Amino acid sequence: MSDRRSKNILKPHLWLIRIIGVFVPRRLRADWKQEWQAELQYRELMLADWDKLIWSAKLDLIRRSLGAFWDALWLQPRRLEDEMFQDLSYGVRMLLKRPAFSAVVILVLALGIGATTAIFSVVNGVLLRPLPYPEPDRLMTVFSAPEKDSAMSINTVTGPDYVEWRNQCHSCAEMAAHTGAQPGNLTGGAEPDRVRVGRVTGSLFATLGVQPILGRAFLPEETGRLLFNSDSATTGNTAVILSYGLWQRRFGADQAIIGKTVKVEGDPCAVIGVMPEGFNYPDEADVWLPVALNPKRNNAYLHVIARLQSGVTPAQAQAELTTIARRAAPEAADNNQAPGVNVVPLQEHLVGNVRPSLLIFLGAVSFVLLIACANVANLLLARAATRQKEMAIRAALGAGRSRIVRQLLTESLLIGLLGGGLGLLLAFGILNLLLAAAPQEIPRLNSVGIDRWVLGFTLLLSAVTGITFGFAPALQCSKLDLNSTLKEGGAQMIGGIARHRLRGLLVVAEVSMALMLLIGAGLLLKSFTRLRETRLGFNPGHVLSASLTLPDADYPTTAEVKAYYQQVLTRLADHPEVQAASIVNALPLGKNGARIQGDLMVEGDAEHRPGAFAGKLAISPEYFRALGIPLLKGREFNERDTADSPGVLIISEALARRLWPDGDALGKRLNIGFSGETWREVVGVAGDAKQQELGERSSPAVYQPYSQVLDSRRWMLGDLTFAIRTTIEPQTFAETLRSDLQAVDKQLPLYDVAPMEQVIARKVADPRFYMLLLGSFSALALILAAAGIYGVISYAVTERTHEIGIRVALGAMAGDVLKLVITQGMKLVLAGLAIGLGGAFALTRVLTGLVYQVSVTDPITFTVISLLLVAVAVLACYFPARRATKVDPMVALRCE
Amino acid sequence: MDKKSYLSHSEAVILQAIASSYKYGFDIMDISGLPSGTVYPALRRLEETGLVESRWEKEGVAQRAQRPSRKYYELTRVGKEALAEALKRYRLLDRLMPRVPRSVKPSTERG
Repeated sequence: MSDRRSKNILKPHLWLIRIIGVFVPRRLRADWKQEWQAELQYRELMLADWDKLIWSAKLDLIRRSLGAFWDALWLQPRRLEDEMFQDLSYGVRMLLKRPAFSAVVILVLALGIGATTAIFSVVNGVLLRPLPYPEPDRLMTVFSAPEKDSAMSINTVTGPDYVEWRNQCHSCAEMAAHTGAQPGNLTGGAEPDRVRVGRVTGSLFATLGVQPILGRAFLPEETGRLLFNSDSATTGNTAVILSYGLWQRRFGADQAIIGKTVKVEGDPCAVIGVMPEGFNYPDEADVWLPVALNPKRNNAYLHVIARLQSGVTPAQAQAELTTIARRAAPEAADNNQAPGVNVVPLQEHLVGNVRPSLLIFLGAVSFVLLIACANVANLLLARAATRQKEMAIRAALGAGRSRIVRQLLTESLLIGLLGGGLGLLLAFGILNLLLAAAPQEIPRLNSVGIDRWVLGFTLLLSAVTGITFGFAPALQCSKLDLNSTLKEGGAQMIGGIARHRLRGLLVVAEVSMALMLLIGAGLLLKSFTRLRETRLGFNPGHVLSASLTLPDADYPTTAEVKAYYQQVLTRLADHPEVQAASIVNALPLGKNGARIQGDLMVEGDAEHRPGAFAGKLAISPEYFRALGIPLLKGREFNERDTADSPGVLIISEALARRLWPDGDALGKRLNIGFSGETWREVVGVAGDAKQQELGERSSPAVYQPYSQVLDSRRWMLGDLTFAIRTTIEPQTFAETLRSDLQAVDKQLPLYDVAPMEQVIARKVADPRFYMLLLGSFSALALILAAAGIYGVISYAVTERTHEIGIRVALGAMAGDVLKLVITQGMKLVLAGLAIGLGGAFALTRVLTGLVYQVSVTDPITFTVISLLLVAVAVLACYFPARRATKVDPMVALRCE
Repeated sequence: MDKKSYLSHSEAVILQAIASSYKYGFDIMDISGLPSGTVYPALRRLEETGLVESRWEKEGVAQRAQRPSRKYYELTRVGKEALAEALKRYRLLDRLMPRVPRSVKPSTERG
């Protein structure tokens, strides 16, 4: 036997098996070797002894044993599984052994991952998810742009331009135009309904690549014509397409709806199609009507979208369209001096304006996540100290450094995944809160949800965070000195300094990131308060607002509109609870109606005076009393200001000051700038009221009595809003208002019924949402950072018990100990503060677009927030410090 | 069973070899002509999916020949079904190799 064995040493095929065997997972190695050796030896035995073998047989044996390499390679994954399974089950045991510790760690991570996942799902739905149309990257928005700043401009397009582009552009496979969707009345059948009416060219559906699920789209003869003979442009709406939602809701998914007639804005229309579920382009449209194309070159009102030919870049299309636009330029001189065209991806156009704020919040939430990671790393480092002995024993038993690192990383990966799982559950909750609170101005919110991309993101995030927070502790742990660690008592000193430095650094990082978030939130809070404290110029309390649209078909003339409102206002005045009832074409800070701004002419001026520019409002006599806008000079409008009496105006203080800085406005005459207008006399000056935005600096306005609106301005009175001051809760008056309207005309739905205070609240919904969002992130960050500081200091106190005991024994007073511990903590906090302040100075400029009347480097905010953080940090240090003062020197010294 | 339907040709050949009583790795290589780098990983895979199982040769047999015990492979019930299934696809498979006559079965012959 021994003879044979010595011979084996010389046999290369058996040697190969030994060498290759090293790569086989240890658990399988013995069996594996035996199998191969037995086969080779048996084969050898069958042939002859090695020495007597012919070369070809030897080579064959070697070739066969080389095949063992592939076998060993194939077994490699088992090594991983095997040890990973061991690590994993060990990790689970470790987590279960200290349930409180594990729960805290997992919860902290879950908060970070949950918040990040929720924000990411919003970013994913709004910014990343492609538009729900086939080949969405070929869809573009096309604007006219004056040549000089063509990259910036996003202007609407005139009818003739659109027709020329569409006929001549070869880069575009399809092109369509629309005027957005406006609220309109849907009548016929049961209750009148308020719907969003999209006016579109027939090519819209083909351009987007969406077909009706029922019926058909518009035919070319139904849309897209230029109407040369009519200015007000009625197409004689004959065909209408319904959205899936409206079809379900109002028509009970009636399969036989095609061909039936509904009234849109009073016009009878035949339903020709129903669009698929979820399709509501543009602007959440409920119904689609053919758009009228105005042939005038000076009326740019169309939004144009195009589908590019495949392979054509936006730049190519832009070049071609610019050429086409310039060819038409000579005739278009009165509109654009040197017309250009701007082609922007549709998705970019839809979401471009919310991208910055969403990315800011994604950035903010990743700070929270990083702080959570730092906290968990800190906790793990603290625990690593208590596990040093365990690691030393493992190392002594033969575990290599990489093996120990791998095991610790497996544990932290496990924690990361558990945190991710819980975080995902939290994300559902957070996302629901977010979506409920989010202002409606954010586009595409309906496509926000937890999809596979979000799931993938969370999984990746959990794995990456697991590795991130696990890496430092794992490296620390594996770097230990066996000898001293295994010796009793050695554990406390060795590796301690490096670990302390690392834990300190983590706290510094946490503090600095928390400070940046807090400062951001502080700035938004201050801006929001400023916004809320803005002087409105009117008194919103006890005012009900509600809007109404009189359809062209039923009230074609201005006189009829005026008569209708006269009747309603008379009825309203009879109610004892009404103090003042009025109508206006554009409610202050409201969203409805024709908001007109434009130039004015002052009598006696040779040319247009700079600053002669104002919002133009049509109101009923009691308007100022209804809204509580003070009348500063002159008189209000009254019943005697009729269409036949001399024209009168009231102007706002801002406008009066601008036009007549040191004179009296009363008695002066203005032309409000529409063609066909005559001179009107200023009979009053009213206080300034914020018209469009709370943040607007000045609100010049000129008011005319609605009774004096010219017959050709019917459109100015199309959508009016009631403003009614009541003695009772305004909301409770809504029913009375409705019944008054019903008494005059049953077919008109009232919409946007809301107390004035709610209208204003809606106006601050955006900043409020952003403030709350950043506020909650920074609160979370502050709590986590405080916990981090507390953890580190508390641990340091435990480690220094012996030292503190000696100090106390040598006569240190409680105050000295307190100072010692708090100083240690505050050093870290101040370092973090310095870095955080620097970071905040650099980073808060991203908030520039979100703050109002606050500098993004507002020194007061920076100071107050820093003090707040210091206070919280002192508190976080104080509790462990107080514990330190209670150290009994005898006990402390004896425990060594 | 999904495992059956994904049998590669070489796996089918190996199953057929085992079914024809070529039960050791090297014997399978000899009869199938497949290299060891193919046969062994395939055997591991088949064992993992439960189509074959392995046993060690009796200790005494090997000791007498002054060599370690060899490992031999056998078809499981599932393996037999899988082979029957594979034979439908690879029709010439069962004609590919002769059954080992009992008298020349390597291990018994020497044992």
